[in-house]
Amino acid sequence: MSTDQLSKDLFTLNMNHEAQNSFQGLFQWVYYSAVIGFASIGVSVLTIILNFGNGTYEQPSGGSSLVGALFGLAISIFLNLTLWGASTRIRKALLHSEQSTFNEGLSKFTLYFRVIGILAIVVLVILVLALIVGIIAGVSR
Amino acid sequence: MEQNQSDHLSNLGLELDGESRQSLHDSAKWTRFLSILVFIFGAIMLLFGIVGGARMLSAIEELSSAYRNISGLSGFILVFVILVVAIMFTVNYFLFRYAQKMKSALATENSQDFLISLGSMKTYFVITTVLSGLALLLNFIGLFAN
Repeated sequence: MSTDQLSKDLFTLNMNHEAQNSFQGLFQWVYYSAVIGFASIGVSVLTIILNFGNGTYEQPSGGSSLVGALFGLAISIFLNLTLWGASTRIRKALLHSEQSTFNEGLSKFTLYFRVIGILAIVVLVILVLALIVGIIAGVSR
Repeated sequence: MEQNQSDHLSNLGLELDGESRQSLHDSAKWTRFLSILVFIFGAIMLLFGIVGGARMLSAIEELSSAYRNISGLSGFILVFVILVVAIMFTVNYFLFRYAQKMKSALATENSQDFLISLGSMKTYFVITTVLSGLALLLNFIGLFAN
């Protein structure tokens, strides 16, 4: 263990009951949100399996819709794991007054919003590109 | 400098080290960006809903009288769009308030802003979790209804 890590672990988390209750209340709901997210993933997997049975993915556009569904599923699993990790770490940190676990939890919580933000930027760029291509196609007709 | 890094939100007995302070600052930055994006998207959606609804209404009125009984559809679409945008704005307001209050709390060491910020984020998660739960329930029912 590095000296830096050791000093972090020795540094106990300091906050009064009001702040502790606020963090606890927030991350309790973050936990519920992750649980609902995992249940939604389960329903999505069931839908994909049922669609396989129906032969939906054997149609011409079926391949791309399957890839889209799996991609969405992978992102959703990652985001919900991040939320789950944040809530369990923060709640553990509050229980045992561990600064390093608290920091890990907060950094996971930030990662959740960072990933959503980056995905939003990617979607925006794709939309703008599609709009430009559409305008160019319209003008060149 | 070291003192600044571990300043106290003293009313809460809260000590934030550089790492947790940076995480909270980053989360405020990204949530602010996301909430502004959703506000813009909501405004565009509302605009399209109003313009699209009006166009649909005029198109239906141009059709024969046999189709006039479905003219209420455009009104329904408009109400639906307004409802969706209202929910989006309400949820998003709490995300935006988290970002604003957290930034201000970290900059000014204001414990009240810090608590309001955490409360706003909690409200955001309460609303989104309840809505997600409802959507999940509908999906689940739909899965077995088919």
